[in-house]
Amino acid sequence: MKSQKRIYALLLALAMVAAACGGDDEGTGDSAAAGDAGGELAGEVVNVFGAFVDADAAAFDATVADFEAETGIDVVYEGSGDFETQVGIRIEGGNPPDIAMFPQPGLWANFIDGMVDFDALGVDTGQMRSDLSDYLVELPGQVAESTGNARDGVFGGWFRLNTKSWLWIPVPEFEEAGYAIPETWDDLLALQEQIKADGNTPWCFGMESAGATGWVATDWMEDMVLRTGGTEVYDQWVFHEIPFNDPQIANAAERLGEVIFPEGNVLGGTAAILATPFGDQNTPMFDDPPACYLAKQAGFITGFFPGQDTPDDPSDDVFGPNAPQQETQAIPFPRIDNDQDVLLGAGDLFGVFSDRPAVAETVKFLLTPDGGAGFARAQAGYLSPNSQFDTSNYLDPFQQQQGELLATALAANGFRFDASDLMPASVGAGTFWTAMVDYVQNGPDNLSDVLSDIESSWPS
Amino acid sequence: MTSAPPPIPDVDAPEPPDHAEDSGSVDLSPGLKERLTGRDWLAVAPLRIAAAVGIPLVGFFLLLLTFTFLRDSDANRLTIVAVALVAGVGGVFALYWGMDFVNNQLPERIAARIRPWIFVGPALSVLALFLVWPTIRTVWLSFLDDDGEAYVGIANYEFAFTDNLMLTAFRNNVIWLIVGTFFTVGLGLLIATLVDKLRRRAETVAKSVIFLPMAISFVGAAVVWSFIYAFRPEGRPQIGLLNAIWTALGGSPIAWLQQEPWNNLLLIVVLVWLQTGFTMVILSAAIKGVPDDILEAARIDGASEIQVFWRVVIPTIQSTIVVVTTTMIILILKVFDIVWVMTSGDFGTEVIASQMIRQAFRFFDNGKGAAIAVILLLAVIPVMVLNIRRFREEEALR
Repeated sequence: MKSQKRIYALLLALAMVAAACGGDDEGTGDSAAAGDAGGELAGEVVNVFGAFVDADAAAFDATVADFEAETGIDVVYEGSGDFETQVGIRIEGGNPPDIAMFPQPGLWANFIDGMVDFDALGVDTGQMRSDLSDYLVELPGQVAESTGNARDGVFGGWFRLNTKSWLWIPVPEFEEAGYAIPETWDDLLALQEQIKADGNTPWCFGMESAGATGWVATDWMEDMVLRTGGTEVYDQWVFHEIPFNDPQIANAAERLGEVIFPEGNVLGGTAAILATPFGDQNTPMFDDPPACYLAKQAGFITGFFPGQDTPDDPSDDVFGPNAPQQETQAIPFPRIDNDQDVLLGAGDLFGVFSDRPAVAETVKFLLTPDGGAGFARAQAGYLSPNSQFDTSNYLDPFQQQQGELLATALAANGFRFDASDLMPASVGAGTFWTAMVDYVQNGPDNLSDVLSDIESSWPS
Repeated sequence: MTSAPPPIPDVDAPEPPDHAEDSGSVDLSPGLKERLTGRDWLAVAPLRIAAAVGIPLVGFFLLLLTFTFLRDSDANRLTIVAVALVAGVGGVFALYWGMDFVNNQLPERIAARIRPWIFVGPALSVLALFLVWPTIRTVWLSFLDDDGEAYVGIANYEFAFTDNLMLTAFRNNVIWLIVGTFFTVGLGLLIATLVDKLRRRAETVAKSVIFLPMAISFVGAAVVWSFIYAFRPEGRPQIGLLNAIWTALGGSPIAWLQQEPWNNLLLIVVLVWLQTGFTMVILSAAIKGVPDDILEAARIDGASEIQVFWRVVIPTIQSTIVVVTTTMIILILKVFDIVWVMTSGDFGTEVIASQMIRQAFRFFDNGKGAAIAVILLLAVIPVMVLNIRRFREEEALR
């Protein structure tokens, strides 16, 4: 049975390869449809391939609608849930999309050899630096260098970002209990004790994520490193200029331990941390009275809140523009030992595989402050990397709150990209994950072993 | 790999061609009687290769043409499906029929020697392309680095036998092999023996119930059992069956899947639940095949039921037990889905196959992934050899 399945899979793969080979003549097909608008590029088709699908794909179509009407260029977006595999097949099969949007910079860097330099496309990279920040413009190049794919020039543009460093609290119970919003780590530790003294549980914490268990804790670690060591230590850590078991990293992990390990600090203890799906993490907070008063998770978690799964019926929403009452609120994660305005996030990075003028125009448009405006108006979860972006485009107050924090952090050079996504996959999606599971499961005493394990697994 | 080898009919099989002349059976290929000249062989050899390689190639391009044509057409979906079905099934039939027809135009002494190659050759070629070649390539890749570019010697194997997680995986696979095989085969044998004593109706019901989980995929079963083992913090509603019972009895909830190393046994339970039905059905059929006169003779001689079981039934069905056991061993060596879905290898439950997937498809390290695959292959081969040898011995006895 198994071997038979394998043969079917191979036949399927063969058929897909055949389909990819036969697909060279695409791109001129339905050009007539878009041809009624003006411009010398009218009728040209630009293929964009990315990982987001469904509502996000529709939002992308919305964001290029005005551009298409103005130029007559037909921007065709294709999303795939299996993007990570498919993009390699298409590029290595000689049939790359014109523009590919990568959720992981590491994957992007694998294909840098086939990409077109933004200067060659006529993109004003100086403007790009001032719009997007030096960090965002230079980061892709650093990733390429660290993965052995170094190339001179600018090959990556950012389409959208998201933010991670949010602390969620239940309102109004938080205020009723007389708790103050923590500004510093000491505030937070004091708050923990206060909550426990009141007979309550401070934290909700869930990191179970099926085949990807571990990433929640790596996000925590990243925020701790960024807040204890600042951006400098963070960058050294990401690109392995300091070892993974450096005392500064161990210090960050110990701080994390101050949340995880104290008795009664987390609902259900460490076993619950490892067994609770990350999406269910915040749910006990909506009990009456709240089963916990603090939870940390990225901005996307709002989609997992109870009631949010039925957009047509906002009456049971606990959060968001249509909720009858805001039962929770996001506050920036407190500072630790460091005064920098830091923010952890991630985003979609695009590479360009064609230098046709229509492609160049599309790239230039996507990099303008208006490049994502349509997306932001259509779908929550979009944050523009562009500092000139008009924040009134954001769908709801939380998007605006995130947008403002992001803009502040970018301006202060305090925004940093998710470290585990920048590290080699065998660390960032491997030993870093398993080691964090190990740390949570086996307690603070094995920290130095845990960090040494990651260090020794770093590919040479 | 989950079904027992089919019985080979031993009466109607055509005699090997060499003995065709002096046998009295129906003569299917008179052409084989004629001797071939050297010149004939010059024609036969390339034609055989053409049949074995050419037919799949022609078939592939015909299918490709149909695919491209259908993809670019604007017809509605149902029409496309219908055309695809007719073209696909009919095309393959037409191809074989056409080739046979062409072949029949040749002198019979040549045609008879090419005919088997037309029908079996393509299957062998496809098998070689999709099984033999990838195997060779995997072995080759296991000596290269993560990108499959530079030769690294045995570094990948060194990793496989020294890395902590790999060692855990080996340990767990051994636990799986011993415990899993023992319980699937043991329980299957026990149940098969016991239901044999039941009335016919009750036997059918019992066997059906035990066989039912076989219909569930490994992934599905793993999801089901994840809920059984589910854990929620104390004081919150327990959605897991096991913890619901446990807390009802007064215990505080336990994160079952985090209890090293016992969690491995909890995962093996899922496999036993799934596969006991299979071993039971095969062994039950074998037990039914034990001749009544032997059993009767044993009982007349005063043997107790337990003696009958150990001294008569077991030796009689021994070969079936070996087949079932080796099938289980191979299945368990490859175990992956249950672990991947339920713990994804965390908490010390990693197995070899999950390490292979992780290295090759998550870390994109083709070298290490291939090395682990080769180790797995080498571990399976002796069991396969044993299985095949056993099968041959049995054939020889007939």
